[in-house]
Amino acid sequence: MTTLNYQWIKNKWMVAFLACSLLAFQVQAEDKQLYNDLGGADTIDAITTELLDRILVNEKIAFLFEETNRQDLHDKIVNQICMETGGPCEYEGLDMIEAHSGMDIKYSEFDVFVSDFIAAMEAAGVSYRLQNRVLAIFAPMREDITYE
Amino acid sequence: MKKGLLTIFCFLWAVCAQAGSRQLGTGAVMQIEGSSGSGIVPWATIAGYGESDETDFTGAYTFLDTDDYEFEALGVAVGWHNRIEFSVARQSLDLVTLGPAIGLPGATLRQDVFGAKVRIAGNLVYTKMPQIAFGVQYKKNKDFTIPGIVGARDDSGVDYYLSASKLFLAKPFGFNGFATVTLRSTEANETGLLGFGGDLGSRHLNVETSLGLFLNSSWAVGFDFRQKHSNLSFASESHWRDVFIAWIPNRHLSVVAAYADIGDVATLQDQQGFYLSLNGSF
Repeated sequence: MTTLNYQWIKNKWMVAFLACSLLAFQVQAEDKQLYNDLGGADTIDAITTELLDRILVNEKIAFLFEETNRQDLHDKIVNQICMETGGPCEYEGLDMIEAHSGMDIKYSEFDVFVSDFIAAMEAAGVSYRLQNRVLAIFAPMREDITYE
Repeated sequence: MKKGLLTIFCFLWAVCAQAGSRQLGTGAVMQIEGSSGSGIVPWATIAGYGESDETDFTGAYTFLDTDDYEFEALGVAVGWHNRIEFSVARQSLDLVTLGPAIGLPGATLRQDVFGAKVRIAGNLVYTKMPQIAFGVQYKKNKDFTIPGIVGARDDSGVDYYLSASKLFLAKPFGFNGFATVTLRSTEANETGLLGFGGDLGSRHLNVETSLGLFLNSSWAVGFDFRQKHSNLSFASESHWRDVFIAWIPNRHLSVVAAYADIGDVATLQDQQGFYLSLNGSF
């Protein structure tokens, strides 16, 4: 009887382990897929160039980047999109809360940024459905980035 | 005609002015009682595109033609800081068939609806939880003769509703889906156009829902359902439903075309027809 119980527990752990690995694999596979679906490093570089062309001259949010070097910002954004979409990169910058602390970013400014981001993806030839998949990754970061 | 011209004027004005910064489509459209939502269902959304430091104005003209009725609604709303919404709407129902039949050709039922809504929690797009809002609609009949004759108890009433709305980014299949469930407590007969309360009862809790999908950034399709109750024994009410397609080319303009099935209305059966709604925002 005890052997049976022990066996059952062992199986349960085995099942849980398998489920977790499957889930982890699933998530990772999905993310990796997005990086590839987007077109990898070239597309992400193009999106970022288009994005900076917009946000750095958009009178509503340009002031937020006044003290930032363009090349520096470019590299950070490329790096982050690459990592978040499952590409072969490791994000080395600050986390979202640290990176934006003290900037007092408003919801409306965040939304202006998102609009420019969408326009940038459009300009870089990213399809509507891929745009949505990228936005789905970044949307939950709003509360970390803004100060409201 | 006058209303049409007024609407066009509002649009021209709207196009020239600035709108808030929320994402395209997140202001929803004006539903028939003046609140932000879809055709017949109020959503948890706040009218316009304003964020927490912005205020937006919206105006809409809506027309529904079944063979026996012509329904019109004209409304304006203000959305303050994506938190509070105030709206005013004038509804009119032209009794095209019933009027002449009861010896009152040209008879029209009209009412004013004053709405207020407050967003309690959540954000339609950015939070995991849905956006949740509580709203009221105070309704006052302009013409109570006919509602009085058919047995309505009051010429005014208040609807209370609790609504939850959510946009699902990239779901399903990479498209953005959206859903709303609204619980409404109401005494209204045919949204109030036939007065409030009657010989069969008064206040009821009804469920309303909208489901839909953005096909791309400016086109959406969906479905509305609105549960109804009968307070008047002279004619039973049907649940309402519609399928809609919305075109949202920019933050200033949206156009909704729908096919609505409002069932049996005041003894006339099987009322169905096309619905058109023009919305301007600035």
